[in-house]
Amino acid sequence: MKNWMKVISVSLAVLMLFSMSGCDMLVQKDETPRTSIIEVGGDSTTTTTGADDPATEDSDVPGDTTTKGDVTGTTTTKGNTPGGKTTTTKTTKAQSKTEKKLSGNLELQIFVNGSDNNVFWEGLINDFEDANPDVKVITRIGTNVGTQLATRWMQGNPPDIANGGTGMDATAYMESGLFEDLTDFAKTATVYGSSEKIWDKIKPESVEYFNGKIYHIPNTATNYGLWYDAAYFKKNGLTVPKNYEDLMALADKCQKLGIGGVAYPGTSGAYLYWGMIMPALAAYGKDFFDQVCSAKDPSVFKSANFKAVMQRLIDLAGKNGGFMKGTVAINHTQSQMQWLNHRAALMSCGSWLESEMKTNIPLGFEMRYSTASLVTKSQKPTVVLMGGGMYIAAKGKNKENAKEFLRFMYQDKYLLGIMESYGYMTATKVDASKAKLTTTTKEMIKTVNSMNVVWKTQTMKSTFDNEFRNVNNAIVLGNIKNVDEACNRLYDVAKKNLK
Amino acid sequence: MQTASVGAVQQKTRKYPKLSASKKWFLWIFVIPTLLLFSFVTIVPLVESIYISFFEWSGYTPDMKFLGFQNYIDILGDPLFYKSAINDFIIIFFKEIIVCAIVILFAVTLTRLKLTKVENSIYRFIFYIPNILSSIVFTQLWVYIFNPGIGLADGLLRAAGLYDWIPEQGWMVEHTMPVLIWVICWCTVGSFMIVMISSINNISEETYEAAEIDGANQWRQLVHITLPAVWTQLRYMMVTILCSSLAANMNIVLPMTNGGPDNASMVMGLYVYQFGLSGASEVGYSNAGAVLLMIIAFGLSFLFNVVLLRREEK
Amino acid sequence: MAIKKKFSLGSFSLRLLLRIFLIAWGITVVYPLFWMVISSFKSSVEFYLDPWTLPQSLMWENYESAWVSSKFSEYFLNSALVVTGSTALYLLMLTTTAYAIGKYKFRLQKPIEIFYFFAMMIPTILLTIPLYFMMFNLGLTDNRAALGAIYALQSLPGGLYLLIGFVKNINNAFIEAAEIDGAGEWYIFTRVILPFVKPTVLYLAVVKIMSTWNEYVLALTYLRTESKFTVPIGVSYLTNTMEYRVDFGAMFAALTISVLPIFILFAVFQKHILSGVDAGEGVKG
Repeated sequence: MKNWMKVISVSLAVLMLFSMSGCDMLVQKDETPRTSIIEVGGDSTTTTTGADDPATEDSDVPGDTTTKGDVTGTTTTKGNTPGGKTTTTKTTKAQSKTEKKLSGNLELQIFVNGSDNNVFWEGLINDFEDANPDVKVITRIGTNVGTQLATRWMQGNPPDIANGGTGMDATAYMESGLFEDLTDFAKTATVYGSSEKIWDKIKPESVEYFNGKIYHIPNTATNYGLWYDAAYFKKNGLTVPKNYEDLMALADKCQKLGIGGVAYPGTSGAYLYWGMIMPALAAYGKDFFDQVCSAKDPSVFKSANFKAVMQRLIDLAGKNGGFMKGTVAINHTQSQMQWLNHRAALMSCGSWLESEMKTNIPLGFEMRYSTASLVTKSQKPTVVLMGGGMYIAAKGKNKENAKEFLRFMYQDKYLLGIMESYGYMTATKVDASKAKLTTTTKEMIKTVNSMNVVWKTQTMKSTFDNEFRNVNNAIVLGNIKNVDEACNRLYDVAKKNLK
Repeated sequence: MQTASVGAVQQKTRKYPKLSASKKWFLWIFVIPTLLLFSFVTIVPLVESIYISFFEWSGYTPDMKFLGFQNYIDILGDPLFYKSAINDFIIIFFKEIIVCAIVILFAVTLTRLKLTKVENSIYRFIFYIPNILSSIVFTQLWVYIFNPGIGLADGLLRAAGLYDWIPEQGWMVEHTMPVLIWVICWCTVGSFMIVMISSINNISEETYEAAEIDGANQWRQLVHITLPAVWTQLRYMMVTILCSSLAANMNIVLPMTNGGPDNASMVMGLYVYQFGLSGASEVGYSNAGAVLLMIIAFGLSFLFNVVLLRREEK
Repeated sequence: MAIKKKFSLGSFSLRLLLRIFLIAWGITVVYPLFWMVISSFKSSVEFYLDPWTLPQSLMWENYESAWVSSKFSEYFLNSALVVTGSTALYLLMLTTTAYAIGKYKFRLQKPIEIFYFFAMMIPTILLTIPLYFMMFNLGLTDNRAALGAIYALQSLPGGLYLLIGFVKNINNAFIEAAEIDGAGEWYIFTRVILPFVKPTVLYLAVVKIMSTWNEYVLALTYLRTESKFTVPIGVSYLTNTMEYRVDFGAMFAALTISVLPIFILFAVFQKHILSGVDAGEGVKG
């Protein structure tokens, strides 16, 4: 290339570079990612339509907005814009007389795991906007919102409300004081549109505390367990395990078949311990379980009960058909793949598995849920439930609106909706039989309800959580064969964390 | 000998002669701004990094607690840090050897073996491909190839009948480091091969012919003609591999094993990253680790260069 | 240009062995890509059941779904912008600095050279966080131009390490001849120095283009709005999403789409790129 050509092209490129920077500076900071919905409230000329009776009227009456509260019929709300043009939007629900008018902004961070959960959220958000037409709602919804918005949380410019998920380390945020303390709000707030207290609607035993404070009010209840293929079990004469002894027996049969017993994503080892180890610890009683979770007294990790559970894990790992070979290094999708290919009899996963895998189950595969864990035959079958809810940012600019959104979510319609969408159980007292659930989920709920339910009410510290996963992986891998070694590692980390 | 140039730079009189106006202009427009910008994006964050390493800071809130050297003491007392350092050294050691060997092998083969032009260009194209792929793309591919049991690696070995004799290998579990080293070498070879090929092509054929006539076999030709001629490129390659290893290692290890089963494949870059940019945020601690890393990297590179420079003068 | 006579490398078995190595390595490169492409035509269920066979039928829907759920056209544009701008800036800064350090004699010449040499050992990945906060305070985050400038600056020491050696080797007689003729610096730079170092500069340009195109960590940290994303960010987001949706076919389709353009570009320009580096003009390191 001639030298002059090179110089010209270089200068052109540099010019382009700087013009790009000029463009970037003109773009406002709140340009939103395309995966979000932007819905603007009623102060524009667009009218949002709802499902039921349309009753919009335009009027040029300046002045204050009037709201007609009507418990039985439809309501119209008028809003004013400074330019003198008035637009009205109608609500589809009856508004309680006590609901105040909201205005301002609200930014939501919603993690969805890729199935059609966003349908639920979009419906919920649309309804919220209909009820509060003066609120400008920005929704960031998708699988990557956690990573995408992480730096904003760090810089002190977070969205107002978030539901956790991958990419957002909720525990670390909690520890750094990024979440609003909801203790008082949880006890005093009412459900939207009624005078029923949220605190009365939820199951109080399901609330999770961090340092004695509440940072998220429970809505859904997640449980883990071992999933299996009923057809495969039938074909190969395997008995569905119900407890630890059954698992040990199954391991021998699996070895004969040449497959592994349990598979789980080693890279996110939490699936293993929530599914198998925690229930066994919970079987020793709620207080003991709380102590383990909070890790406030490191000596609990050297206690006889804890050692007993760890020893069971070591023994199961020591059997050739106990855990699938290589399970320690695979990720979530790989573990599903191994399981669907019948290279492992059981997979340890959460209750969202069915909704996640809806479209990918091969013909003839009957996915079922078993609550077998390291709980022994002589103990009561135990399952651990975790309450999930939304977090409000402490540095958010619209905390009031965020709290209102929370109140809105506790209406029956949405409590049931979220169960249907995710396949979760509920942490509230809503009548679960009203939800349209799949057979698998219904069976799962029935099974869980018949067991000894222990709620997780203490948040685990993230450094401890990490070490726990590592220790479990090391045991499954066979690197740790001595129970004292495992317990000492956990004891040391818990001690270090006390500082 | 140098002839004295008119009005411009005098080569042998003063040590730092006065530069011509034209040269000064060049310096001020191009060189000085570059230097300033570079310092701005490199030195300033570096200094800040060192400053933060003396504090405890979560990165989320503005409160920072002064700790003195406590972060450094903690890190040096953490066995995991040493483990990651050792892992890094292992990877770099094998990487240097394997990459250099393969690059020289292929470069020599492609320039000196009787291949048709088409074949030659096809090979060059193919071998460069790993370098044009993003690490996200090929780490995914390799993870699935090493999938336990149903992956390609196991499938091939099973088809070859090897699994009748040896038990099924848990690639990522039992051989984590070798798999990582393999993938890292796989993606590094391409670009260095290009420069090596070009410098080998610059060696004149007559040298080889003369040596052949003198009875030197292929090996001696390689060692005494080829290698010395490409020594600068070779040295550049080795130093670059060393310096870029920290980032390069982490880019492969993070997506593939995230530190490996129970920290088996933890590398220093990942160790620092875990505390800094992800989850348990202790930015001060992570920066202290970064500073230590830099000192280690410095020391190594320095040693490397000194050793290699001595070699060159021999 | 010297005629390159292909010298035979000795015994038949040695040549055969070498050929086998070449082919084996070629397979390790080609097969993963081939697998990626055939997997992109399968449905997820099909993929789960047997990842290694050829697909039953070509599911083009996977490509449609990958394209629709992502904004790949924008990503490509962004990547192209960032890469071009940053490489151009890089080459400019690199060549001018290398010339000055290699040929000028002034008091700061040696210190600057040593400075860059040591700067090469600074692992830039460790500076990501403080640099980000610096940029944030200047309001330059989420700015593709700033990102391009950072890319250009960070690779400077490595390139200088290579290039300064070449520049120093240029015979001063050429420069002096030009000066005697009354040439200005820019003329000397473009007409005397650059032609000598062209192959090395081309090589560095190619390497820079490739590494910038694939750069992920910095891009992820700085670019916040989706319309500015570069291809690597897009690919990683997509693979994340696809993993959850467990739609493997679409994930592989996305990977293939992301790889295709640069592949084609490279194939087309390969002759120029690789042979340009080849045609060294007698400048030996």
